[in-house]
Amino acid sequence: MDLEDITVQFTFSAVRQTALLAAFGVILCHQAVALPILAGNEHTHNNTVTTWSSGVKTNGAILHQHWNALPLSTNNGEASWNANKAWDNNGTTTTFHSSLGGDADFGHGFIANRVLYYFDTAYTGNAYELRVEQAFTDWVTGARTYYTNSARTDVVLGFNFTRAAARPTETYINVKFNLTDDNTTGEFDSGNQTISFNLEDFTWYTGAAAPGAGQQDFLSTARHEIGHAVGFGHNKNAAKVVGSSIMWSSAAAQGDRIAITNGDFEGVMALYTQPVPEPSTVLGGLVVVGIVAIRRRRR
Amino acid sequence: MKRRWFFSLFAVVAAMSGQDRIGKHRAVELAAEWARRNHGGLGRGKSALQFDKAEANEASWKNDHGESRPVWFVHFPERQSKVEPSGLAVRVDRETGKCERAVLE
Repeated sequence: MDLEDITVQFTFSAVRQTALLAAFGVILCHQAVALPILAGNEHTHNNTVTTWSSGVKTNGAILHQHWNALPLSTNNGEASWNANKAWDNNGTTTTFHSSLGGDADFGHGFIANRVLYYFDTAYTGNAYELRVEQAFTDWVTGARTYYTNSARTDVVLGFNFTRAAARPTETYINVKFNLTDDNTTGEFDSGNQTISFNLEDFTWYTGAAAPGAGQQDFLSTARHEIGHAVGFGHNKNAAKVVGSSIMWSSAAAQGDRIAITNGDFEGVMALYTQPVPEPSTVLGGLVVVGIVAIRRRRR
Repeated sequence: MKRRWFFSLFAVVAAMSGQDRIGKHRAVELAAEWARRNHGGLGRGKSALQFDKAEANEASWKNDHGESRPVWFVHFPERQSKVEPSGLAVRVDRETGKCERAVLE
């Protein structure tokens, strides 16, 4: 037996052990499917409300996972969230549903393609529209960047908002500029998915650069109202400085621009279900590897 | 009237001491009193304010002079509203007890 034979035998032996371990893993994991089996803070649990399968939302009790296992109401670092609703889009239909059942803290939202927003009032090319578009982009690109930095390249973030040129026929976010309430800069009505900005009672700064002293920043308010449209209520975290989350309920002070924080993006991770591989998919892959290894060994 | 004098005196003493004199419970009381006095003219939906479900958070707030002040942010929610924001919020200066309506979004 020369060195090559020893190497080959060792390799086959290692493969056989892997196959046996995989088979053992299948048995073990089928016995304990409720336990998290992947690294990180994903979790699995059976859920009887709307959920997803193979990247498409379906109904039924399907084993699934969230990227972020922390309930939205949990005080978690930068932000503590209060989720009201979440978007579902399976590529053809769009709904804005309530958080349901025992998983109320998780929105079970999933955006396979995109959710549309539409400017109800004609302000085309206007600085207000530009800042609203910028705010939507800030949410989407910020969440994606945060997600990418989490080193989870094996999963896809189902979270996207796109402007519609004409009034959509499907459920969409309506953007208006007609609010009149001298102590409210903007509001979101979850009943009809409408954002309304108050242009009458405030003198807005609509620039892309940071506001100067005494200027009321429109972009900060746009980011906040879109946060409601994403599905968040107000930040419930006590003892926080205004500006620590975009979902603080008080409007920005003059001269301040409020950022969407990583804590807010963590909220997106928790609110929107991520299509990470289901345990059955992972285990299926291991079984295939095991079968191939055994066949090669016998050959 | 007497009560107003009392609060004014209280505010002056608190300001002179230079310390947080207004605790969370007291801040909610001051905010509720201020809101009851003023909320009649504060716009839509305010008749449904839930004074017994107030939430108070510590925060810092930059006033009109650009000075950061320690405040209590007291929010009185509104019944059965699908609209955010709902209810009424009052900023209570943690040193002076001065109440101001907060602009919500």
